[in-house]
Amino acid sequence: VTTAQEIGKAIFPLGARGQIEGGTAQGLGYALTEDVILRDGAMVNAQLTNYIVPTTLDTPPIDVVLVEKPYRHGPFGAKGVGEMPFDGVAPAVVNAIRSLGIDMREIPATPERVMAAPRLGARDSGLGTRDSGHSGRGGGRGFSLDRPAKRKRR
Amino acid sequence: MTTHHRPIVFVLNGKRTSLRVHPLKRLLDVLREDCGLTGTKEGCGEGECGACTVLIDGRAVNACLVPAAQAAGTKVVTIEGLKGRHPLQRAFAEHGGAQCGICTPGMIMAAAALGPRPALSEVRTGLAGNICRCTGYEGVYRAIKRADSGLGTRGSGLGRQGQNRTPSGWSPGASGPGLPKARRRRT
Repeated sequence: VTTAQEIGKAIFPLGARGQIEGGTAQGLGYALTEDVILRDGAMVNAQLTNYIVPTTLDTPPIDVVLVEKPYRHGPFGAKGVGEMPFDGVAPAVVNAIRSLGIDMREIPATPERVMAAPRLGARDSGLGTRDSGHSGRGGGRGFSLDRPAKRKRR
Repeated sequence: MTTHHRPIVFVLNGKRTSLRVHPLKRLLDVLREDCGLTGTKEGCGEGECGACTVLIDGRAVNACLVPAAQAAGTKVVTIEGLKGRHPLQRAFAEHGGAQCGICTPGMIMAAAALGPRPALSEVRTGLAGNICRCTGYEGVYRAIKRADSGLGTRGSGLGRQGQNRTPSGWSPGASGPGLPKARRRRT
């Protein structure tokens, strides 16, 4: 994972880098494994056994690019750094899955959800794997698979 | 109430220790409550997070899963046993190996059990039982790497060669490539 963050002035670059690395790893958990399952208003997987936080073996190397552009209104030119690293990861992961021709629309993209997701047509995935136009496994979600041409441009 | 228990004798951080505690009391609680060594943290209490990692005869174990009786006759080393002078401790502080810090004592003990100069793959496998929410593990890898190269005084005999809680495929002391180049050039 390579992540670039514009954080104003990095007052403590080591700490800033650590925040970004940690946020990215958390974002990966958010994108792939960390599923809060609620039953009767309570979380039923509230143990680390079944709520999967990324471990050393789940976390890929993270490359951090600090973009420093001192921010006039922040203390010593700094901006916040704690939350932003979290934001980009799940969209990036889901886009990667979608580029494989899988119509993933929710996170965490657990293996079960990826298997159940409908396949995208060739036009949408850009991979040329036309799936004879049907909606694939786990279909019936009530949206058209031919639509995303518009969405892609955004 | 505890007095009628038979004493459990073990070596704690180099000192012979005899305690009359319930034999099924968690080693974690014995260390924190009976020995006053609160450096060992309780995270999940169910052997998932590794915050309570200590060394028993050089082997990293989760103290929350070890009954006190099982420590009898062993050598137990906690984070206090490193006396704040272990190269890993300094490296964790200097290279971003710790952020909030609750995983840190366990991380350092697990890293100490790896033996000198572990390859990155060995570090990743060896620390797989230590969950860290803050650092994304990159800072931890950096710290372990620097503890080796910077100070060169690891291999303090804490780790028991060839034995680790990690399963097969672990070869102690194998001088692997360490961190890949792409990462080494980072400042």
